[in-house]
Amino acid sequence: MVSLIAHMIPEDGIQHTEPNVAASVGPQDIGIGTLYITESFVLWLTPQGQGLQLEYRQICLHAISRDLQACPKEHLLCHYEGKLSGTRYTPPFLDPCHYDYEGKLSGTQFTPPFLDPCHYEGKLSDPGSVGDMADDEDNDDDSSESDITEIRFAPDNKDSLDAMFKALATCQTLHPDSDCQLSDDGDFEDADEIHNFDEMAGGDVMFSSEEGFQHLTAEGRATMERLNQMLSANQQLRQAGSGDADIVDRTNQMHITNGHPSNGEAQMDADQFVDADDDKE
Amino acid sequence: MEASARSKFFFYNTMVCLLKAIEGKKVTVEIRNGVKINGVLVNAEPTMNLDMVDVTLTPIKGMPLNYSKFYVKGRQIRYVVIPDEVDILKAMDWQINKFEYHKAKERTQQRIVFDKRQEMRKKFAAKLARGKGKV
Repeated sequence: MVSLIAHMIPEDGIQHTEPNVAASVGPQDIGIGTLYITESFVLWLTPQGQGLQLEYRQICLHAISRDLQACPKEHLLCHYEGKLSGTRYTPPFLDPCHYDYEGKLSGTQFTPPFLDPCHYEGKLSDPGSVGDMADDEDNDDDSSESDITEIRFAPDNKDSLDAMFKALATCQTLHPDSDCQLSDDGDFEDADEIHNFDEMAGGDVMFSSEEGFQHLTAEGRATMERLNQMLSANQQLRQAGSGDADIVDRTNQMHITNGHPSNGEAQMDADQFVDADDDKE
Repeated sequence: MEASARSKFFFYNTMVCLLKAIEGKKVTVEIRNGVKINGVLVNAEPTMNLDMVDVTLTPIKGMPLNYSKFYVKGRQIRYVVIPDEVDILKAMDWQINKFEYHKAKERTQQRIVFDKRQEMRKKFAAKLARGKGKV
């Protein structure tokens, strides 16, 4: 069932390397090799340079088992979703007995293209289609049960299990799932904006667009009007060449507290939320 | 940890903050293939990836298995059973306000630094003015 594929020894972004790791896929032992946990994938390689490559997005969970009653060796368990590279993938709804090795239905001439296993395999091994596959599974998640492959890595050195676990978790955070409900970036910006409004409502609120003015009370609008007048008065004074030091001072302070120059209103919209982000950290 | 706008969005606008609030409690998680996981929650990430310890995994068929450490991706989770003693609304409120508290603290700190600088500037200006007076 498992045929190993030749891989290169990874060089970039290695988080952990563990020699002498016995691997098994499901109930089947596939030998001893070296496990590389890199930032972009997990690779287990035999000394002959053949092995298994796991993508982070398809690793559902990983865990350390120290229960010696259940399993003779302490190991790292990974649940892998979807097709394992190097194994023959049979779509669960197709009974493999009815097919010869070329994927034609025995006894009939016609094979619909979408039922052709070769076709299917080609599509699945294309990395671009992984997302589509995940979307499909959202609809019929109960039937996806059989797609999960259990892979166990049992290192000779038990003490490195923790380090392996940690490296996997770290790399997993580098690969967030892209198919969350609100994947449209526009939505995020809007929602962030709304959030910022009620978050800052307690204190130094700053609005720069027409939309923002609607949040102001009548009193607030009057103040706004007064400040605007002061600003324009100051500009007039400057233009006239007779700057009143006091007003200049106060205006400068206003610039500081508002955190932006009074002229760049349009461009402000974007900048405002960049700052708000920094606040949260 | 560097927090992106995206992860912050998820933290403040989804119930992930509830999971963050009950870190350290014993929870039951069911994942999409029907497997039940019972264990102590150590860390909840904004993407709802959960880090757990002392886990008992109960498959649909077969014997329960024990795992000392466990990490499951958020996308795989079907539901999480919150312990009875947790008041969900209070827990979420507490979690959100915890961050508000730190932010408010930071703001006061910035204010103090700003005031100090202003004061120093004033002193310096006064010194200059006095210097001019002498000359």
